[in-house]
Amino acid sequence: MRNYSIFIAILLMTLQSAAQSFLKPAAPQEKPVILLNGTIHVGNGVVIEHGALGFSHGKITMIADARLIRVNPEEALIIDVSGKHIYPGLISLNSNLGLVEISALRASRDMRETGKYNPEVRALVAYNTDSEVIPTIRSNGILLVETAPAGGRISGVSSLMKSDGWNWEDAVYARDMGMHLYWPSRYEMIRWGPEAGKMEENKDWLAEVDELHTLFLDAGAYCSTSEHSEKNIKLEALCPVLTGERKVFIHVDRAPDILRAIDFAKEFGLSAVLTGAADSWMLTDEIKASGYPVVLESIHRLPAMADRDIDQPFRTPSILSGAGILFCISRGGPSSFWDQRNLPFLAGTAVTYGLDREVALQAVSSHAARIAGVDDRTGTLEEEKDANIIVCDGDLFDMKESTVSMAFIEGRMIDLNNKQKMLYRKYSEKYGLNAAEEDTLR
Amino acid sequence: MRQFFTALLLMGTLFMRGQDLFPVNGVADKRSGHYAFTHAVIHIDHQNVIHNGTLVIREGRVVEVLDHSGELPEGAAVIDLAGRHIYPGFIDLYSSYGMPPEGDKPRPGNGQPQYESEKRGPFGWNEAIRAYVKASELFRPDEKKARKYREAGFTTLLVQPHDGIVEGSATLLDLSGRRAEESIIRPEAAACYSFDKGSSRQLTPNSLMGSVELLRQSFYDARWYEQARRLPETPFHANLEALSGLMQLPALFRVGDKLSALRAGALSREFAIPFIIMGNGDEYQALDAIADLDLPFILPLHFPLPYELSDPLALEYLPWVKLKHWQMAPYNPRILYEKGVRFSMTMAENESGSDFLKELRKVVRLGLPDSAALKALTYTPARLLGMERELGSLYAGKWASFFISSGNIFEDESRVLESWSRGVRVRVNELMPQDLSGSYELFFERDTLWFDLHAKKGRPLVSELQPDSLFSSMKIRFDRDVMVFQLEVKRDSLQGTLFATGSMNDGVWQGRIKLLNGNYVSWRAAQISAYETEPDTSLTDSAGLAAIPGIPSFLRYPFSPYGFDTLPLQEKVLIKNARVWTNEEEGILERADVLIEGGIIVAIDSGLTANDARVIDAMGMQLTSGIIDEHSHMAVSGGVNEGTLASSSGVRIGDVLNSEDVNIYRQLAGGVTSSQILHGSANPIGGQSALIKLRWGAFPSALKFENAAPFIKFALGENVKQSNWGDRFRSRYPQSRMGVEQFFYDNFYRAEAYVRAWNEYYALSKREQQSRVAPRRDLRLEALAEVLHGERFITCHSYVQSEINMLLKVADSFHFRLNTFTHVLEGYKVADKLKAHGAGASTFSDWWAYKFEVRDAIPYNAALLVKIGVTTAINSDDREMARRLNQEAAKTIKYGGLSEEEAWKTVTINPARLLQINHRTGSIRVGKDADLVLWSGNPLSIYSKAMMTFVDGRLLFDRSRDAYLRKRIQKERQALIQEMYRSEETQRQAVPPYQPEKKYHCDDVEDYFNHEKTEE
Repeated sequence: MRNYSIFIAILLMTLQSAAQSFLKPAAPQEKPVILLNGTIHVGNGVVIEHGALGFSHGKITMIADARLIRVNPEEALIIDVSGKHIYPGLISLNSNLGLVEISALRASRDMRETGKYNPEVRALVAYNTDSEVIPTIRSNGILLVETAPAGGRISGVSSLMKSDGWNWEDAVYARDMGMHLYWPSRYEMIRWGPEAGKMEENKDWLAEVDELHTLFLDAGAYCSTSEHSEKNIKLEALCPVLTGERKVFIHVDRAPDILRAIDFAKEFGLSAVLTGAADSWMLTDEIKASGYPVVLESIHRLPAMADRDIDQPFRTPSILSGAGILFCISRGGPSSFWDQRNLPFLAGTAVTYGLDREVALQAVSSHAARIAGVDDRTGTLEEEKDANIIVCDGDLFDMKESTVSMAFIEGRMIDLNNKQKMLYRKYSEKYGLNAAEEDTLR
Repeated sequence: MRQFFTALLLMGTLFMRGQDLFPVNGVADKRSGHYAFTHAVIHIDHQNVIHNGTLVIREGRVVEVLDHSGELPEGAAVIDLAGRHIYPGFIDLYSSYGMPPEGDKPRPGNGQPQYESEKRGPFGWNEAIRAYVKASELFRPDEKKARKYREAGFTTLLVQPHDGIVEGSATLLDLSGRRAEESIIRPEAAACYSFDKGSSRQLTPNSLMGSVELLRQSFYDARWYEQARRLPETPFHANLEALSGLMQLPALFRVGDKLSALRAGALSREFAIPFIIMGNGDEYQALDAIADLDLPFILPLHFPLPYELSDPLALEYLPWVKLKHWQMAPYNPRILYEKGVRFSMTMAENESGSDFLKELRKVVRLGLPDSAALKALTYTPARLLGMERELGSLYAGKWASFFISSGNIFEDESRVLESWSRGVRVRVNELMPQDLSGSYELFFERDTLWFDLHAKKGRPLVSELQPDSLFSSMKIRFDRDVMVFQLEVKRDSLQGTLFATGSMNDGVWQGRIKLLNGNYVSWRAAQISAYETEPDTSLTDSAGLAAIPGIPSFLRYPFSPYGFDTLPLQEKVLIKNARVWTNEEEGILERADVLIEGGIIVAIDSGLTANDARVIDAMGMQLTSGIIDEHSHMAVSGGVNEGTLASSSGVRIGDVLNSEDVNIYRQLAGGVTSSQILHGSANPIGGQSALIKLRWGAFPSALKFENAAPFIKFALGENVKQSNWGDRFRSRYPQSRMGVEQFFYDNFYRAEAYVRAWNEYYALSKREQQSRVAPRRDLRLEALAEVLHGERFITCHSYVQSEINMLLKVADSFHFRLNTFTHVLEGYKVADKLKAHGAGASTFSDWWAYKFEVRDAIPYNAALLVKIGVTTAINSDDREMARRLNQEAAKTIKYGGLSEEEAWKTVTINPARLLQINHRTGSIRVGKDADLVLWSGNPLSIYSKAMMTFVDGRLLFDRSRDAYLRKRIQKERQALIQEMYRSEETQRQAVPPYQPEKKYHCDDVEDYFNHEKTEE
């Protein structure tokens, strides 16, 4: 009965928010919660059948075998999740969530500043917590999202955001966590003119590398002293990058470019993350030796050439994993706001093509947390960590059963409703269809 | 030795019969041009040779060829060729010699889209139709370029305007270098066509299929105009008038690759015009289909250089197709020859005459017989122009167009010495050191010395200088006809250099030499023996005969690293113990056997046996019918949008299928067996679709689904009103959803009028019909008329409910059924209306937020539509996602709770119904096509893979074979790179950047010719 009541509570909350047309961010956790009898995927490779997961004041307090503990319903809200799977909340890096609402509408795009070098701009302040897209992401289990500026050479600073919050201050999880740099490629797609749509040698390639080099040299000099006749916010924004305390996500795809980018990062002692990294599978030795982690961009992509193995992008995660490289899987690219909801299925594809299931989970949770530098707080379901948790009715990675029925961010039970579910219910009613209650809750 | 490449021109030679069309300044100078070339090896044609013969010419014509050099005709100037060769002049059918230099580059524009023709005058609506252009009028002799051709042995060229889809007429001319009037042999010798709109900046066409349509419509218009011009109400149209004339001439068709050659072949059949196809040198890649065309080709002799092999990482991005083409291109003429394809050859792409000859010799060395090569340069081109009685051989009465070469033209050291074009002599090359190689005896003052003269890379080199006690070295240089040399003296105390100059007279070199004391004395040098060219032993077998080299294996179906060596057969296959998703009333059979034979499913049961069948034990696996992608843009060449005018209903995707797109193979690996290849959505009335089966290995025409109902793409919303095309695109009607409706009404009213006009014509008696002019055939209205008659079906790109509702009403008012709404992301809002009308839906599983009109898209759309009873498919519109359509279907379980069977139907039987092919495919039933996929597990699970995919009972994807192919590709790449590294070619080309494939979505609008993308 108790289990039922929590369901009804959620339902009421959902209906209420639907009536308001706005979804309300969840309130802080007041009462301890224990999820009982589910299969717990800790996010470090360990799976606990018949698990018990308790959390209180936003922190995980207990992870145990449910058959070996006794729970007191007076002290905690007990939720029976028999037959369900419990995972750490998914973490999606390399996205533009909250910075764009509708791709084609210029007024709704905030992910790109004009100019080439914009280390000073911060995604954080443009993150729109009221975006209609965000609820559709978290209802698929993505609870933390790195939202990043895009384009140019240095596009700016990203932050890791919670997919639930009143405003950006409220929603931020890791403030100003990473600088995004788009590596000058030796070959570039010609966008305009008579050869548009063709890859050509970038004549300015070396000059662009030099320009970047000079910028970092200058920033190094600037950051070495606090005495400045005039403040230079561009250079200043690079100081934490040069000390290695701020990660720099280097977007680079082709093998020769990846090698160059690694050399550059080594020269300046950067805390680099190879991002995109489509052809990282060709350079596992070099990447492993560099110690740099990899953020793979959507593996649901075509191989670069007809000659390649037809499943090459699908197999890249298992190749990196086999080589012992720290990596995570991201959606990335211009669709990386709405289409992040398919993040679990990117992980699922990686499993089909050779990646261990629990490693695949790590690639969208704990490894992402490590790369983002928040693994001390989240990414796994371990005691003391933030209670960022999802409950899925079936296998999270397999769309035919991947139904997230509960989610908690810092212990707060998140509203999994969204605009699309409301429209679904509205039209089901119009046609006299019985949109199952459970459907609307998913 | 650049100085040796001198040409002596006899300008303005007039033969006696020439007419006095030009006023003479001075006195008339008419000559008979009567010559006898004696002691020559005369190649009368490509097969017949006379040794030590005499060629007699007069007034530009061959008088006779004598098999001796004895009694010569009176009055002829005698030229002793001393064993040199005479060949009929080569004829090049593809040249831009003497044409305006601006060529076909797009004119600079003002940045605004140009919808209408800017060509002034009565030339019709499209600038790319240039039937009125005559190369004969554009022609200006160009001595520099003429020299290049003469060096290669050419005396006759067919020159084309090279601009436009109808380029106009080509002119046949000689290389005498005389003024245009005298050089032109036949002013309008051929019509010229291409698929490339050239310098036109008019938007239409912006796609390959648009070019095909424009050409077809133009041909129909020209034929109609022939009849209609006599009617007073017919507007004058200079272009059509010219085109109807062109259609009587031999015709050249310039294409970009072998698949476009097949496209030109289809036009050739439709209009009964036997095109001569200017090929691309890649014809071997589609050999069978090229041979089946039974059309003659013009082949370029310009072969790719080997690539610079340095950075192994960079080489990883060099595609197999390029590596393989480097290896195979020089074999192309021989391969076509052995297959019986007629061809001539052109030097259009060669930089110099010697470059052409080098490639020609390479082709012959690689096994094209001399006679075939000669034929391709003489008889065949003459014949193709209907000029074989005038040109192409040296029989009496032919034009005296020939060249004299120092030796057999197929031998490396031979060069063209003189070019004679219709009796006009032009000196091409001086004798070269290689012709003078040998041992010499040199006398001056009291000294006699001996030396050997060689040619090394065209430069003279002296060796074996004797006596070496007196002279340390000797250097020789030729300056035109003059030989100069320096001799280093090393005699006791005397040291210094002697300088000498001299020239040849009667086979002996003589001249003056300046001694160390400053005095001149005379010298004389005579050849005591000539060098024999050493026979190339590498190509000679033990019997001393030249061995014909083997051809590397190259046949692939299709020409792709993943191609088949031979097409798989329709085997008899028994699949046992599978979990079978029938999509029929039987539902899922837990453990069943399926027998296929002759491409058809012949039995479904348990415990089936078949002695002669290949048995596949599918225990633990699941069998389904193949996935059908209702909305695809793969396998298309040259753009998916003819999105220039608001209606492009005449264009056909079927004209531009690309059977080599590796995505066909990749999608087979995702279980797809049929796809509707759709036109894009850039205009309200788009183009005609092609329904294909994924017959990897078949040529384009064989990809098409036989007897499938014809479809056409319509579109609504932001794309057609150009909302996201940028500010330049604000003038094309319609710019609002209001205009879209009226645009449809207008087009269908016009189609009705078109139908009426034809019906009235058909109602006439045969005699009355003959006295009338038939209505003009209009390819666009014809397609719409088919829609009105229920003979063609619409797939309409749509998003919001208002526009969907609108189009339903348009269809209702013209009494046809709107077959399919595609995308239809707000279909769930009007599901009841769709159902009532009988329209189907084909949608994405979960796309949204990419533009304003998809803000209310929901992933529950498909499930809602299914529940209401609308036939609903999940499609890809994306060549990557198409290989995961099973997973996209599974999302309808997650979003909206469809059952597994219902979900599976959204990518199989439902799209089959929408495409009206459900009687052939889409389920597993006896009698249906054996389009089957064997999955490793539940087909809806993300963890399942297609292990085998059958199309028409042919096993076209097999995961174990795929594993073998991956290894083979690596091996072949490695072998080709090794071969390339060992290539003797010293010139190399840089490794080009890899070109990612074009990924067409229906929103992609680009100009295929000008490559100006209008939308990102």
